[in-house]
Amino acid sequence: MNSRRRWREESPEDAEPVEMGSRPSKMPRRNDHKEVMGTIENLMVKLSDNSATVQGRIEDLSYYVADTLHIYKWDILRILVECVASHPMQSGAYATFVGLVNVRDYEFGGECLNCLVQQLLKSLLEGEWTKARSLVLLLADLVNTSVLTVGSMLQLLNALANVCEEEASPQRRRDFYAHLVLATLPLIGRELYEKKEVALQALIKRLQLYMKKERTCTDGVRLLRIWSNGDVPQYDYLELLWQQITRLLRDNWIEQELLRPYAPFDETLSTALQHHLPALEPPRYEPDTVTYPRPWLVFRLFEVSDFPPDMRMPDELDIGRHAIESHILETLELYHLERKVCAERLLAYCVARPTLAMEHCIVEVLLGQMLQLPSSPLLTINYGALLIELCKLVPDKFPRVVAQAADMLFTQLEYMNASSFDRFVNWFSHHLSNFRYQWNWQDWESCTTVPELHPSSMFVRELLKKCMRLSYYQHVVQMMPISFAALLPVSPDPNFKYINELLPGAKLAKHLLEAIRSKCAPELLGGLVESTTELEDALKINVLMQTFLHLGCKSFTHIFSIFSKFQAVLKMLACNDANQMSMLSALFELWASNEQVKLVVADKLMKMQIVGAHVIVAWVFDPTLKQELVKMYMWELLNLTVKYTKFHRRDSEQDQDSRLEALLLNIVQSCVQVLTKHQPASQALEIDYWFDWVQGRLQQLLFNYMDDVRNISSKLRQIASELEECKRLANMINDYLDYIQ
Amino acid sequence: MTASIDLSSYRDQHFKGSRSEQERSLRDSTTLYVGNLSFYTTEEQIHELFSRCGDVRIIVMGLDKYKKTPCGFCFVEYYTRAEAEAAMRFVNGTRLDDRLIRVDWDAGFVEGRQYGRGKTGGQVRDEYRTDYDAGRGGYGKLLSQKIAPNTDNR
Repeated sequence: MNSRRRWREESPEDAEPVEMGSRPSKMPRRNDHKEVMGTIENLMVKLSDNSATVQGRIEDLSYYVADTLHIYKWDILRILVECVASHPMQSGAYATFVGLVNVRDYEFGGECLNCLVQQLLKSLLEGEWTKARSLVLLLADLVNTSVLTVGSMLQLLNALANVCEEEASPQRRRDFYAHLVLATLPLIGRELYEKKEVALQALIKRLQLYMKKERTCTDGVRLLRIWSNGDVPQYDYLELLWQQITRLLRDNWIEQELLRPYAPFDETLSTALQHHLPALEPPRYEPDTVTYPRPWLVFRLFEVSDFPPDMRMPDELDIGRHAIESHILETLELYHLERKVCAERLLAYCVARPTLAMEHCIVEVLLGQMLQLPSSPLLTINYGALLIELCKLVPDKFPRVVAQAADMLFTQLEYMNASSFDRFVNWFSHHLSNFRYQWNWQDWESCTTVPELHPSSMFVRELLKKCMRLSYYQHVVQMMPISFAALLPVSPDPNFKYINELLPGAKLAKHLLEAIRSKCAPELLGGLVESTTELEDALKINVLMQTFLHLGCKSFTHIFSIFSKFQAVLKMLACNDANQMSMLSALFELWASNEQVKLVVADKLMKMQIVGAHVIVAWVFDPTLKQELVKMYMWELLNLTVKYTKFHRRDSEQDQDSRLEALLLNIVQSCVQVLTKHQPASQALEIDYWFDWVQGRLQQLLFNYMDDVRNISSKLRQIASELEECKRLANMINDYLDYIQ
Repeated sequence: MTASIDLSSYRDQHFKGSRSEQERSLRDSTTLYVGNLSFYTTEEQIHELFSRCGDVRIIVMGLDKYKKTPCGFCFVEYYTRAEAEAAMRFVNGTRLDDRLIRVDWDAGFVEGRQYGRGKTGGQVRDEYRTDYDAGRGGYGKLLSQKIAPNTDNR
């Protein structure tokens, strides 16, 4: 009743109230094309709202357009395709709408199908994979709403399955088409089973042949594993779907979780005449035209035993889990930019299913996507902000689940790859900062008894450093139990050594300080430095730099304003790489205890174009900094140099590209060099943590810039082939090159 | 899908230009105003949080006009609009230094705008508020004067 009233209010003229179930006797005036189109579009978009009122809305919409199909037909079809492309999980609602119209207007049904097949072919040709998938799902649901014959759909599915048998085609193409076919089965498996059991069996057999015999799972998928051991479930997406379908088959295709909004309209829909689908041949394989989707892994955190006793969740091989996750992922994709709306929608989904452990599922999907490889589609803080919103809206459920998830991730840390590790650190530090850093640290005491570079120990160290950045040193010290003392950060204070007047260079430092404090002209400073002939250049630069940093040690603003004032002097002294290295060395010396300052100031020097990006690379991989190379901040700095080189417009585009490629190649070569030179500190340790961290972070950087690294693939392959002694590293590079094709 | 990044109702009365010019600047801006900070929140804390959304170009701390000490607001400027939008979406309304902060568009830093515009040197809101806020000097200025008159607020 409510939905009827609502759309009537939207119409320009208010019609008389209408009894339920009968057609309105007086329709609103339709002389304004634009307004009517607007209303239709509005109503169609609202079909995807997935609420209890969808049934009423579908009905209303089908009545509203009934008279005017011949005017608005093409617009309606266009909007239909758009809506379904962005809301594939709502194919049922749209199929119901088409089904109801088809009952009265057979021609429309046929034209709709023609249009969909055309659009499907187009999207397959152009590589619009999400759109293709949603169209196929819509077609499947059109079988359920009696618009399309079962036989026709089977014909289409078999045509798509033909691609799986193309022996010469790349696996990604064949995988995609297998995925298309498998994705429809939860929707129409039962219908196919009831009406065309033999044909369905034959189709399954073809897919089984592909999944079990033909499909080899390589292509660098190894590198996508978040966890390096087999205990925590990670599934190749297609393999998982196949297993879920196999289970569904065993259960006679009875599927509970999907919404089927056409069910209440069964009687009406079954009176319709069904159509046949025009024949569709999937586009032939043409190399280098479209890029097929890369494989991905599905992440599972919780097991059945982790859910509260009164809640259940379909287990991972249940197709219902697939439906639920697809729904959550769709909501995330559509609304991730508006965290309040996104949270509300997710919560509505929770409320609609009170017996399922939806909170667990949502947290699992969000964290899974946040940690995924090769990289996550959204900023880490996006997931964080959304989880904070969910915790705020349901404070008796979500905080507990999030804490449980964080704890489970912690226990698996030794198997977690470096890239996911960094994101976990960043997410959790931000999360804690929004909840007063309340945490039961004793639960994690195991990290105090493992080696220094062990992931659990590194995690807490890095986490506390980030917490310190967001709060302050004393706060972190006082919030930790005494048993964690060894993992605390050091007090992030500067250390200006030239206070000691006996040190070489101290005299110059004193003069410089006096000059600057008496507001001398910047040129004077240059003169002072030049005239100090008894000191080497490197020492002079060290003194000058440390003097600047000492004067500016109060805050970033202070440092930056000194740099700005004496920019000319700095630029003059930064005339060669060695001098620039000296500047970085001075920075790292005075601020040895403060990673944040080292990172921010080095980045600033680069952005002021005083220190070159390649010099920062050389500095980061300097042998004297070997122990620092396992820490996050060094790689944050490295990634900043790549980002800056990539996006800062200075030269012509060509120059910029070649500069970026040179930098990336430089990074890979430098890193490979330190990795191959590395001798494990103690042969007794089975695991070489230092090597793992550095290789892991190199892999992360390569994943962050896949498209750019692809341009230097051949050079990378060359490097890998020369790594005779370092098989691990060679394998990683080769796997990576396979993946990014 | 733009509620998080829409303009608020605040317009700077000291802006040099018309209303529509100000709004155009706000819509293109990569600078954000951040409010409800504690007087003790540091530039470094602000830098860390806002760096989660992108590369921060510069932070300008809001200062008491007379004391030249932080008075609870700042400007954060990014290099790109997209990064600033991310901060509007994911930082506005969350905590920094355990306080819910407000992030809003700003037309761009101009010398002089780093100072509070309240009569006693801080922000206007701290002149008139009547609650006790330990992070922002206790009671509002007017109320403080009533409680302890002749206390030198300068």
